[in-house]
Amino acid sequence: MDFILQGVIQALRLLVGGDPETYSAVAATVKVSSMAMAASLLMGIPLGFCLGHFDFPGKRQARLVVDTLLSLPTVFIGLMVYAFLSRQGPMGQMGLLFTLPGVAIGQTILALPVVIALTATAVESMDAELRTSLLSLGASRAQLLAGSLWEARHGILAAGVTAYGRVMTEVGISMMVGGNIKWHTRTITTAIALETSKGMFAMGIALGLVLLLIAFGANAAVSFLRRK
Amino acid sequence: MKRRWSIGRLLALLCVAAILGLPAAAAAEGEVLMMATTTSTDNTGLLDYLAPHFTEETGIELRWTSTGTGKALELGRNCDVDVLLVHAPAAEIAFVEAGFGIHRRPVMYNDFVIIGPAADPAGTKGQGVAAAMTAIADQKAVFVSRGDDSGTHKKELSLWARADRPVPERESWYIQAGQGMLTTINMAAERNGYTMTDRGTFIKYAHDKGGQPPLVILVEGDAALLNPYAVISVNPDRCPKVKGDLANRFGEWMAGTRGQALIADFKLMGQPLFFPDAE
Amino acid sequence: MPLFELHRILQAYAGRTVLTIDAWQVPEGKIVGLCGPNGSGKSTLLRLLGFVERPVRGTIHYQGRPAEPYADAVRGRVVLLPQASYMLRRTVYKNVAYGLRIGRVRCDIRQRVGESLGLVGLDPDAFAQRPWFALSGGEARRVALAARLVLRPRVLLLDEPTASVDSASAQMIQAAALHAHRQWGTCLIVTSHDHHWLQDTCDETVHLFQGRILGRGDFTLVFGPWQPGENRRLAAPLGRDQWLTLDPPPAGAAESDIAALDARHLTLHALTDPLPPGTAVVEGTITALALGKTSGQISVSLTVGATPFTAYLPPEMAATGHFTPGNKARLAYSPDAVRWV
Repeated sequence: MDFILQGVIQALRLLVGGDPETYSAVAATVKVSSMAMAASLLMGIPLGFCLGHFDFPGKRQARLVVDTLLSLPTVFIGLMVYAFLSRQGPMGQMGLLFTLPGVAIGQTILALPVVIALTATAVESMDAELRTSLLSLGASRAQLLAGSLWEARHGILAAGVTAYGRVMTEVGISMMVGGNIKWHTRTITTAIALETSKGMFAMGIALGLVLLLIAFGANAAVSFLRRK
Repeated sequence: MKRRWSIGRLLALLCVAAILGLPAAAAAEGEVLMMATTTSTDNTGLLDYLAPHFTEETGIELRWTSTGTGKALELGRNCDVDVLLVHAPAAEIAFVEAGFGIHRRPVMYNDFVIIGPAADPAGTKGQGVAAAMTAIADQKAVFVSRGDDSGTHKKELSLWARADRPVPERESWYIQAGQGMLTTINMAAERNGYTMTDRGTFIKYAHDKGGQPPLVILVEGDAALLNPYAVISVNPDRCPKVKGDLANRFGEWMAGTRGQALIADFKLMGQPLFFPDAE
Repeated sequence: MPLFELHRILQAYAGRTVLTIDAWQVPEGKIVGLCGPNGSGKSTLLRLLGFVERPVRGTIHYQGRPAEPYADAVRGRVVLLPQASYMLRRTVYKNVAYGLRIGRVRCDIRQRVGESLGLVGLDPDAFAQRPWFALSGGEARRVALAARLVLRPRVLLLDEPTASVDSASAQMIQAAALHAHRQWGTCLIVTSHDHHWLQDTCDETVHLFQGRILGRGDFTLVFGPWQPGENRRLAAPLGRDQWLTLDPPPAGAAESDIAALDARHLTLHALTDPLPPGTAVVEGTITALALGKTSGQISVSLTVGATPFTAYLPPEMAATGHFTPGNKARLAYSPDAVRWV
């Protein structure tokens, strides 16, 4: 099993040596996960907030649907998104298959239920007295929403971190929709899958460590925000 | 107030990243030819070697997604790629006859070999394909199959037919990997079993193992083991978005003198992996 | 013009009625105490008056105009300190400054926050930058009050402001609320179990029971069990051979078996005094005397068997010296001066 040690050494070599293929995969990963996270946070936080904050008919059913979608397998999302983005599919005219935005669409579908469900839980579990307190201090409707959102920020941040973890590590969507095209849609995870299928286990481990490093950086930034 | 800023900044950054990402991916769309191919051409490094030459000489950027032949044909059927480089003659001909593809051009072949442990418990060494497959089945020796509907998998299925044996679908010694060629070889090595592979991938495998691979070639040279590759353009009449002319230029280039010479020159450990055979 | 006017208010949670008030007014600039047992609707009334929730039915007028949650007329002016006040997940300073910030109040926020913290006995230098979780229960309560006082509200509604805090905190909370009343004419409406403090502080106290206002002043509640007595009256045993005998509720009235006796309808008598005509009497032991600060009225707590009664003692009778704690006295009541609730 000397390829484990080799993998660690190779990871350092790839990063320090500025290996262009590795950096292309890193760039693709960062780009596509940023797009997916931006889209899923922009849609998921308001939706999750509404789901947790307001009472409306069908709320429990909506919650059930969102919770079920948490179990969506990535290859299934990949297949469905492929079916839509394929030139024969309903969105084929947009030419998004084998592109990073296409992958980002799939990853958004993956991350959205996570953001919605965890945001809703964070908002639901907030103190029932929060509303009373904000109202009693003279908050308007908008200020009440903003204040509640801000009070739930730790839970929402956790939702983002969890969703980010899923997006960064998925391989099914990237492979199916992105096609693992070198210099273009090859992300770190699809590169790992490729290297593994080529029997280059050390290279796969090296890329895995690079992915962990990026994730560490992102989480360190978030924990810095949380501390403040 | 400081905190509000940080979150806002984070969101803004994400948005900027998203906006920058979109045009960057769209702007690169020039003369791009999208190909679906099999794992063997990609894993051996053949395409990494050919693509720069092709781009230099034609100005066309070649992008490819490598997968099993079954999925590659499906991508062609759905008009999602412009051209195919695959190796499953029967399926290819059916594909063209159904009107999904045009201009099928044989460009090269490699051959398959049956590999297994040097001890050869089933006694296949030097036998013909049919006899070797029969021996493996009789001895119930472990055999790892690709099991992924790829060209290689289809080839293996045809060998069982040649040996007049049903495919040992449910036998405990018959392992269907459902993965790429190198993974399948690695699985066979782990289980000390037999498998069938294209020679190119095996050379690569032996090279990666420092020339001392745990599995060795036991059966080779049988005419039934030839593995021909062909380029097929996806039919632009069915798929208006497909770049039919670029696909044709790729097919012509591969089958032309330049492409054929490059294929012949592609060697690993001093051994050629593919043999040009365009008409 | 009254500060608050309530018309035909009904409040219910999940279909269960918790408060019904046909008509009620709160005068401007007063200190009003709300008392009553748990579940009597005090907190609900405060939440309605604080415009943090809407009644199921009825209207509340504030300064002569109908008002409701989020209305400009009440935001930042009518301010509630809820019983379980929530600390925002921020520093003490930001908690206190929150109301000024969102109300866009033009003032020196830093100075106002410091002043407000000072009012509740917290040193701004030591506390302003503390995070929300680094406070004791009493300190958190005082910060919550400071966050209300900083707005200099017209109306401050305090729901059990001194419940479950130490006595030092309780004193500072009471002092700060009274300061607001004196300094800015803030009307205080307070619920408290601290009966003596209410009596000391409030211009008037209102008694609630089972979601209804019994009335101003002090009430004695007698819970029964009731048995048929003479003259079709109902009688409840209060102790050794003592019976409280009252006219039954009018026929067709809602199911009610608790008698509320207004302190103003009870009279105290020495054991030897003659009784007023038409009254019945019970005998008990005086346990406490208290002086209403603004009313000047002396209220007497008297225990008959195990039931505590409250009655008023006219000043000229207090001068006789008969009515001191430990002494026995007689309590006269007329059987028809009762409200069944």
